[in-house]
Amino acid sequence: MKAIFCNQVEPLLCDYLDGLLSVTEEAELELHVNGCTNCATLIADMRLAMRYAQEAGAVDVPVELISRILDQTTGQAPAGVPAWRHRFMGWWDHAVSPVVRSVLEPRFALGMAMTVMSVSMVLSAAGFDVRSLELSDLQPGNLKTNVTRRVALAGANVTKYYENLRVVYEIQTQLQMWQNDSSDTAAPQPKPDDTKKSQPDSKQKSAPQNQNPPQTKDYRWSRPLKTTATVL
Amino acid sequence: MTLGKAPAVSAPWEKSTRRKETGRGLEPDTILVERCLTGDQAAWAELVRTHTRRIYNLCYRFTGRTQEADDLTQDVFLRVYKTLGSFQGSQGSFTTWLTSLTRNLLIDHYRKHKKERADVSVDDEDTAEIAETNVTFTRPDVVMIEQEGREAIQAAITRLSPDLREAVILRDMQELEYREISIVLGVPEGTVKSRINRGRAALGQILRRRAASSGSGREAGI
Ligand SMILES: [Zn+2]
Repeated sequence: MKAIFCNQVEPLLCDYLDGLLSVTEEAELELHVNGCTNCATLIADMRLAMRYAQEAGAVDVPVELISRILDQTTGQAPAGVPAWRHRFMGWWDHAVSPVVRSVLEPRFALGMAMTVMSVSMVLSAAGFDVRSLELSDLQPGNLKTNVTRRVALAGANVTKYYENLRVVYEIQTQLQMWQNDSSDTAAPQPKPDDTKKSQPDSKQKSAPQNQNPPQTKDYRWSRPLKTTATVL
Repeated sequence: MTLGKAPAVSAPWEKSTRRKETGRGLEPDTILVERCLTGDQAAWAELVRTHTRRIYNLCYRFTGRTQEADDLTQDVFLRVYKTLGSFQGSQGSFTTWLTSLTRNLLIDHYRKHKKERADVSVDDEDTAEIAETNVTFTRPDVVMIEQEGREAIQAAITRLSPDLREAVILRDMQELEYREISIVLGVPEGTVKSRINRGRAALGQILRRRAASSGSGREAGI
């Protein structure tokens, strides 16, 4: 145990008051403090301040504050969203979206996805060139007339439902793979190990959106928050 | 009683934060923020409800006035709402991000109203003045000692310089880690600790002298 001086006390104080010093350090500090009125007073003052701060506790939030905050925020257009668009989206959310959503139930989307899958497999087996194909191109005529009209109507919401389906991801991956294969080699058949390789690509689409530039991020606010009443 | 300059004992905050932040899962707040950004208003309401108390208290402790705390808390959440997209969960907790934003608003507010409050602000250099200013915190009609203590600490806090004030509030009242405070204030942990030390020392000095002066005028002081 070594003797310490006043100027060596200060760096130890936070840890000392948190009780985090080693046994030796603590003993050294206390040895000094016992013989030094200045440091003893300093530490006593600090303890007093900490006690008062702790005992002060938290003050109560005004009753209306939270609802005022929610009123202020949910009622207005967030940054990056023009006011007209915000109003439009509000109208969309309340009037149109529920109808569209009822049409776009998961089983409907799943059925559609399965149809797309089987059609694409038939086409592929028939030696059809999939290089230039997009997912939408694979939809048969009757699906196209019935579905794409709704797809166009539903806009962003459709994309959300659509992309969230695992099976759609797999189809997209498959398509991508075929496209890659047909551009790299002449073989149209996918290799099994390619599935794993291209998996991250499809996931990247839905990956943390907060890596986007600010403008894109703000765009995500395009669906406005509904009225406070429904929340509370 | 004066404290020496704190040596740079800790690493720059960039180093210490990144080490801690990586490799931990998404915290509940980060998930809430993600939900907010998809337009989930219930998530936004939950986020507001979760953090209002802490932010209001931070604003109140810093300004010492309930009305200002009220206004500032609203400003904070308005700004959060507008800039939520810039929060990156990978770069620190939501609490740290929110506290930084609040702190910036508080400092802006302080600078704007500095002239209005030309009264003494206490730094470690001028703590000696406290004895001369001889502020009496005690009121004969105050019966509740506990309440008096709360008023005393608040009165003392608002006499600290903003640097020391925010450091002490964040540590001793908001109970943030040194690492978090260093992110919020944008200074190394060593500086944070040094400010906390000086803030606590100044506060304790004010409170001790107050207790002594009230003890002399009134036998039943704290
Ligand atoms: Zn000493």
